Amino acid sequence: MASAARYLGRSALSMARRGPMAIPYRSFSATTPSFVSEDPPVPPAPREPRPDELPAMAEYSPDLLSKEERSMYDMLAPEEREQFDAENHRMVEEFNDPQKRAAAFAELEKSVNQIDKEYPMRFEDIRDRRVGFWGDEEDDEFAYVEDADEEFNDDDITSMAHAELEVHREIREYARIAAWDMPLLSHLAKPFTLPPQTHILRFRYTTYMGESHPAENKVVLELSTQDLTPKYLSEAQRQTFLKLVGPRYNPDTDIVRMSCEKFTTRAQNKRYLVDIVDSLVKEAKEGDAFADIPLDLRHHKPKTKLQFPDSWKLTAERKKHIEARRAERQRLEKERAGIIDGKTVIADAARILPALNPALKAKATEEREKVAVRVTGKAQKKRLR
Amino acid sequence: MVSSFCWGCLTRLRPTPRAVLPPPVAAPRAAAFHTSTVRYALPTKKKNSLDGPPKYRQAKSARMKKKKPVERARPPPVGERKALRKRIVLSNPNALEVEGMQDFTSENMVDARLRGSVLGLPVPMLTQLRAVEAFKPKQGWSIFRRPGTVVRRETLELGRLIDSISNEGQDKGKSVKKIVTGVRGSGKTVHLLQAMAMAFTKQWVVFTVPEPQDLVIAHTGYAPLSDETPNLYVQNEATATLLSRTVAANEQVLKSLHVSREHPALKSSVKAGTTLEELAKLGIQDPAIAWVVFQALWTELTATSPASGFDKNFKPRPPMLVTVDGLSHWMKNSEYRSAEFEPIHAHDLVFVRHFLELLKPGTGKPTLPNGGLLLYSTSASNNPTIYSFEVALKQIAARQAGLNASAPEFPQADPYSGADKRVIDAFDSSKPTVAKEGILELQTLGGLTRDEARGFMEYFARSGLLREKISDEWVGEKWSLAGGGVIGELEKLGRRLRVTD
Repeated sequence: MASAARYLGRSALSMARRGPMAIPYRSFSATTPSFVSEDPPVPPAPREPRPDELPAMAEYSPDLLSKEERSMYDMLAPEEREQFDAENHRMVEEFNDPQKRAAAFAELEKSVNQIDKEYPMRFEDIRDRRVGFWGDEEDDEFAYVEDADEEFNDDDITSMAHAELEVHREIREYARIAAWDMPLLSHLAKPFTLPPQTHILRFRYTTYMGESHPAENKVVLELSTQDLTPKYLSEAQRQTFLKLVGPRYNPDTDIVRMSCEKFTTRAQNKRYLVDIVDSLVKEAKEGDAFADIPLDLRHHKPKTKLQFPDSWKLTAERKKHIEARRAERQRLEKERAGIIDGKTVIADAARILPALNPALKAKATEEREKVAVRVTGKAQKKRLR
Repeated sequence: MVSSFCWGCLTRLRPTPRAVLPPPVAAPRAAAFHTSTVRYALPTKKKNSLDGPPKYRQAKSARMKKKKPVERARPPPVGERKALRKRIVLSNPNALEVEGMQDFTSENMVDARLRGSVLGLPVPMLTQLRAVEAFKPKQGWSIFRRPGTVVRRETLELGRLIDSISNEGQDKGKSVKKIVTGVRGSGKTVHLLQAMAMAFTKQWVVFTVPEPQDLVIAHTGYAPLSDETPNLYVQNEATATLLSRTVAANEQVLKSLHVSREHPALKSSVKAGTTLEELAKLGIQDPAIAWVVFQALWTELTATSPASGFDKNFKPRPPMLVTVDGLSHWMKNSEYRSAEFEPIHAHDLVFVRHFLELLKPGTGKPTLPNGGLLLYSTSASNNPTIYSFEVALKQIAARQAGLNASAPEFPQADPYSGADKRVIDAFDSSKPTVAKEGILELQTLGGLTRDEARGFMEYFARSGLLREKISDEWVGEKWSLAGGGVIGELEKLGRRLRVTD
């Protein structure tokens, strides 16, 4: 940059040395050269009017006030209003008096001239501190901004507690809605009416509450095959229809359910499903009846729903019945001749049977030995010796 | 949601200042009041290894001790374990004799007053019942002084049925076919036993297949029946044992009956004066002709009139009782293989086929022309699950209820379940055309009633097995515990040893 200036400076110097610049013009031109006309002279700025030259002010009246001032004025009490009017009259009078006006302006001029003395002004050049390469000494720019949490006077809860409070407020807000607004929803309720006979298809769409979801476009169709029978299909054709739909049929509920998410929009998918139903009905009517193939229900496992039997429920009537039966049994038990007790049976047996009674057993063996001694007395004697 | 975790808390977790910790023990300190100086224990001597100094010129590797062969007791001889397992003990001398217990007789088997009491099996009949293998091991016969059975409602019905078939009346010579089912332990086998006992008292001829499983698990020999019917198979040994069972059990009856017609298959060995016992013994002696002999015996027993030349000592044939216990083993492929190594269906065994064909209504004359009872029971403990058999049983029940086979409610096998058509056809008996022949019935045994259960439990108490007061309340409790009086469960409750005092 500097070298460029020096370069330009040198050429300017050389131009200056060459003397007054001759205006080059084509030598063969016949017309005299004409220059652009000069700018018109700038008129001097209009002089500020001297105080005595200022126009006189109009006589004061409340009607001359601006709109805001007027409204303020209307709000004043009557005595205040009087005072206000008097003050204004005096100001206008002073302004319109030329001597007083000149004196006021001179006073003003004087104070302006003396302002330097009253508020001494210095323009010191505060030089930027040099920041090093790493900017270590640099001031934190964010520290300039006043922090709300900077001054903490130990008179507030923490921000987390504030958040908790906020949650609580939110809960209460919804509780208020539930208590006050939601009951009013019942005014909007419509009584349920069965869908008409013509509406035998039922569609299900899914909304994900505004979020995008890959299954948003899915449509599910359900229809009860019993609805088809008299109008669209005969009973035999319905069987064919069931064979065609295959595992989409639920024999427990008699509902055929199919879904489609082939296309990008719901409308397309729905259209496709309806077309499928149409072609199925057409095929069941006109196509092969598949009479030789039994209906395949292997895809369906019937659920066993265990229910408490009605006959087991303890109604008052049944309780009475049971009580009566119990009383009857007790009566029969009392009438009964003998209740067999296992213990007495065993005790009796122990009294009578020698195998179980040691005393009887000893007696029996004694008797047996007596006989034995009589028969084999000699042999025993021998052995004793 | 704002996390309740606070960084400030973590920074406060500072280590305990060292000043708080007790100062490390610098020197061993004796008790403060002790005056003697501290003495340390002597330093332990450095121990050498346990084996002493290293040994040279010796094998250092670990020695394995040779195991000495342990003297084991010799295993029991072949068949002894099985004999022990299959042993049937019918008496327990430690049990008390029950006073006033009656025996099965032809009079009291129809006596409704005896319902709920236990009737003993007559002692002379026990050999017969053992011969037809009416008792099974683990049935609890061994805990009582002598075998006896409860008279329940079904028993009385059975008694009346057998009585009416053998006595003069409109039901004389009727043939009744029943399949007995029921939950496990509901007394199906004992029901068959009671039928056999009644049949023996009424001098019937009893054929039994006590273990149908034995016929299909490839434990007995088999052979093609003949060249004409290459896909039918005969089991000669099994047939011979059937004949020996029948002869042993029905000796008296068979001895009194004589051959009534020619038997060309047996040629000259059967003459006009031969008794049926001698005829059956031919098959026992020579198992090769057992099947032919069995057929001959069957034709003799189902004969209603003698052929010409044989009417010299012809006696009318007695009714027959045929029992099979555990039918479902016959409803699937057997373990036998054909020459092509294809599995043989149980219905291709002539033995099985013969007994299953009895279920079909006879053409022209009843299957049992002299009357009788077919009692085929299922088993609930050793039971293969066969779908088609279950369906067949349901169909029998539906047919018994009067449902037509073409009705939509009639239970049909699922066409995709691969049901065995032969099984369903075996039980697919239409209404019998012949009079004196009953439709195939399904009899389901349930639990005992409370009164019957009471009689049964009293029998335990009177045998000295049960130290309890057999009150109505106690019986009701056990009745409920036994699943509504299932007799097998009641027996378990009764025989369980309890020390109450």
